[in-house]
Amino acid sequence: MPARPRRTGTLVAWVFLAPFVVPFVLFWAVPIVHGLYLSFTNASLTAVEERVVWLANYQRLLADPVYRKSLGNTVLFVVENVPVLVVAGLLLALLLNQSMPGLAVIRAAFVAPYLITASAVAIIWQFVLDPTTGLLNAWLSDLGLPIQHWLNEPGQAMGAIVLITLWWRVGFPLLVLLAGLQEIPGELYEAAKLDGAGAWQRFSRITLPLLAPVLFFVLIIRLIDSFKVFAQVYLVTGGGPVGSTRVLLQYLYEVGFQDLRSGYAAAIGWSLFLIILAVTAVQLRFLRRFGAND
Amino acid sequence: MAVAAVLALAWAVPLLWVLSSAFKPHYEIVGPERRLLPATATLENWRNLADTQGRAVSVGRAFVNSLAIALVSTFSTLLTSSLAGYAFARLRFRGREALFGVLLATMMIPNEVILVPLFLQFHRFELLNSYTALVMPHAISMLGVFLLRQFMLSIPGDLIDAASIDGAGPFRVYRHVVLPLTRPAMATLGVFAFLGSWNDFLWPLIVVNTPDKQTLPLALITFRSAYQMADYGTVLASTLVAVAPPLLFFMFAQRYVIAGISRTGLKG
Repeated sequence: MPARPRRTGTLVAWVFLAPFVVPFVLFWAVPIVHGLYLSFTNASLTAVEERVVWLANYQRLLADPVYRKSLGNTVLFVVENVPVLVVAGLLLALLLNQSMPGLAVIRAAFVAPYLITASAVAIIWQFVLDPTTGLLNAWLSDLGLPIQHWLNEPGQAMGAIVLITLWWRVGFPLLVLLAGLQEIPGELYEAAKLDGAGAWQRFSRITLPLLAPVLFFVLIIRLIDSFKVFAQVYLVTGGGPVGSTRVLLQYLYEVGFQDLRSGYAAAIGWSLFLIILAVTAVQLRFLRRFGAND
Repeated sequence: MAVAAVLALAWAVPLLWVLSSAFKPHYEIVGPERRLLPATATLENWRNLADTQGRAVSVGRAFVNSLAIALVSTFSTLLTSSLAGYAFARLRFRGREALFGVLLATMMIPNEVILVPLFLQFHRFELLNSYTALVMPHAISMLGVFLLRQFMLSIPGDLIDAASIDGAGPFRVYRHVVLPLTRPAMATLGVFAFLGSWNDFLWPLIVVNTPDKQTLPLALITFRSAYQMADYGTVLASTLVAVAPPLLFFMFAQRYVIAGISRTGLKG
């Protein structure tokens, strides 16, 4: 039972709060409101006069072919990346959920890439995937297999990005799901075994239902993060070849910080937020219905 | 077991390859004479990093920038989050629920929404390309306040009451009772804050425009173009400089890093 809060003056409380709240207002709350306002203007660091244009930016986004292409690429990345990461994370977690010698080292190998910066990831994988000097093609040809274009082929580049992201980010689903698996009482499996349940039955009747909340948490976090994909794509392919990997955040970066069209870029940012919000809401609704039927 | 070990090795190969390649002559890295382990280990790449022959890049400078920014950000995040977390968990003041509600509501908003307005703000105050601009977005953490508040709520009230009866004011209770008990959560948050700052790419990309303010993630990309991917060893040596600190820290404090990832999700 936690103690009741101490009766102290509001002034004392604000001494504790101020070091956080002042930067919170200046560098978070104010920019959020300012950004929403900007998205209703034609603000630009090059134009002379700033006018309120209301929803014109958002209307233009709907018709903007580059925006639509970037949104399509982002959705493609999300649709490929989220299942790949969650399923790989789950399989690895199942594999590591047993006592074995060297478990800490094995786990560390999967988590280590999660700790490094996107620039390093990009540099490493360009060495690996470069079509002419890359290590992967060298190994493929040593094995007598056909070499691939990887990053230079519009159809393959996004797939390569998804694989790079798998290597880089799998540590998160792995660790969270592993922690979830370790919460499941071992007696349940023992009892099921005695009743003659096979491995698949034990997985589908015990593991999956009990792991569902954790799985769902991982799914939502990965989904939100995947919509915000930027650095690894920008640094590995630059959005190419022929725009086939340009994602929403890259378009925001180009519009806002290269063309300096602040109003339009702010609208792209808010559109990204609204999309994430809508997808999360759908997921939560699905969860509620799924949970109610369970 | 064997499957897990083989997969783990495959996962580790790229990083081990960076480690070994940073000490190889360039022809052993890619091309027909490539090898996984150096036949002739060399420090040539590191000499190139130290003496850039007029190129406007400095890995030493970028390292110091990254380290200073990450340390200041981490310290500031820990201090501000623990103070505010304590106020939300343990002090009674007007507007507490409302303020905490605002905090929770804005936590849902992705950082990317404020990139443009924040950039304009620093532009207006002529603070672009400054350490202030690099540190400020990392100096506080909404998630940090939330985590520490939750943790402090779980500290038994008797301890605090006892200290209060002994005449300790809220600052002494914070400093001598609550803070020591919050150490595990602080370690988790510290890992989160340090890595978030050390690895950040997008914000420095936006606000930095001279080499002397570059952090390592940006400097790596500058190295890549300065050496045109020709001097592979030098590029990979600089990559090793950027990835070694988090990985070394991981080796010695695996428990906290693992907790940090599974509790906070870190970034990205």
